[in-house]
Amino acid sequence: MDDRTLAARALAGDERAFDELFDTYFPRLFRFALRRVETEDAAEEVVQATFVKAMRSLRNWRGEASLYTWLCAICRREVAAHWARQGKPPRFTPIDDLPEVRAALESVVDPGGRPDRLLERLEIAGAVQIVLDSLPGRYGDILEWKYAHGLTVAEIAARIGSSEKAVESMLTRARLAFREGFSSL
Amino acid sequence: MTMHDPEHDIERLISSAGWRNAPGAERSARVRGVVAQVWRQEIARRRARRQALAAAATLLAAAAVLTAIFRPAATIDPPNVTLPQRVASIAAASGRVLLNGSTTPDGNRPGAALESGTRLETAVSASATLRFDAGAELRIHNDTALRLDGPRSIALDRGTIYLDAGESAAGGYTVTAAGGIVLRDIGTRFEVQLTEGALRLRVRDGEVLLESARQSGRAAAGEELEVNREGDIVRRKVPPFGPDWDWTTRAAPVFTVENATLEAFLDWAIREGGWMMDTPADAAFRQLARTTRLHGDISGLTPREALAVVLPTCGLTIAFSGGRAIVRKPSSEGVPQ
Repeated sequence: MDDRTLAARALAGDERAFDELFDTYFPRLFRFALRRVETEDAAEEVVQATFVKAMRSLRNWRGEASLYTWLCAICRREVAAHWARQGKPPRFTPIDDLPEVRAALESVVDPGGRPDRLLERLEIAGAVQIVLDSLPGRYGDILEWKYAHGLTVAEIAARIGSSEKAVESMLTRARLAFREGFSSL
Repeated sequence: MTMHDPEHDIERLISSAGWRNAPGAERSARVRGVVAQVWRQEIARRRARRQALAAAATLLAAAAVLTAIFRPAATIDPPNVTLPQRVASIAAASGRVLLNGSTTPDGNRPGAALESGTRLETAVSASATLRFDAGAELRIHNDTALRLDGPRSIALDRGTIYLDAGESAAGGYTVTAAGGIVLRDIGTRFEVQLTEGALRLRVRDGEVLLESARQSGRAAAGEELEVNREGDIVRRKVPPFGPDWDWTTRAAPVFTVENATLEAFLDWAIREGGWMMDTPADAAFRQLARTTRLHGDISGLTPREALAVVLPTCGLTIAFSGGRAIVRKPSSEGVPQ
């Protein structure tokens, strides 16, 4: 289900769409928040507030940016509010908050941007994981299941309730998207 | 970075990067529960709005037809589609309780129906309990003013209230207060106090979401959030038992001890007192609790005082330690000193 369909169905009250939206984006936003706050509990609070606001304003998402990009924008504000409540400046500057990296990651959804290569300044494993989180839909998940967890195409198909042929096709598109995103760093 | 053999490079990169951190199942379930609740409320709110608009459109269309047939030259008033509806009733009241700005017998009459839009005010020595038709119980402290906005919605103007959403209720009640602060319960019991522009939220059990123009937060059982005039939130721990909660029992209907079972009395005392009840685990005690019938009256007593008065008449002792109320038969071991 693409982002627009997912959001439209969630807005119509479809429980399965809500579950898919949550399952797709909660882990990614949690990691996003965890790179920006000090503890897992703080990340949970920030991501919960993000989702609460997102549910209230989902109808205002017009699909110009990806759903993940939109959620990350809300999450950044919640992170800023978190640090404001602490009365401290943010303690971290995650690599995906660098403007060049943000532009590169957002260009995964809208290919075309070719910022300067920054990977030398980044820690590779962290960069790989950030790119995986930035891929559209569940591309990041199926790439990780395939290459890091060693799942077969049949196992991935069973996990997402799809056919093997569809998974093969998704893997092809996911690899292209990953290559696009990673090469642009 | 360039990649020469795309699939091989991708496999190597992703496998060497390892698994991404996943939030634990418990954490995920906790957040999902809160978010799903908000999502359902939002869906319900949108549906209600669509229905109201559809009803308004239907009424307008019908009115237009009738006007065309019977009063072609007349103008029509816009239809009022938000008719008051019964949302709650008075469960108990003492002292001077004003409904819509005036003292009426209904303000103190148990069972009196209250419609949406009703304004209720308690005098400085008064208190009241309302029972929502949707299931929750709302206890209102002295010198408090509020408005019933809907079947699950309260607007607090000043004072102190305590909402008990009930054990079987799925939550979904909201309390709005000055400054645009909104509190949403997630199947819980909590107290809200609004004084001089500052709001204090104390959660006895369950969870409450707090939203303001500046920020949002979540309070769990045993937590207090204070929102000051500047909108800053201060979080503290607060015990779910103790004298601060006694007013909630005083505002509630008196528990009828006469002919109640000991088991029912203990259930009431746990819920009102906020302790963890520690009772003997043996079958003999359970049998005693189910079959013992009580007699007398505990009007005016706090739950703690009531336990101290009633239990000795059943051959039991009571002691309090931290957040536990410990009930023992005198012969049993481990009776706290």
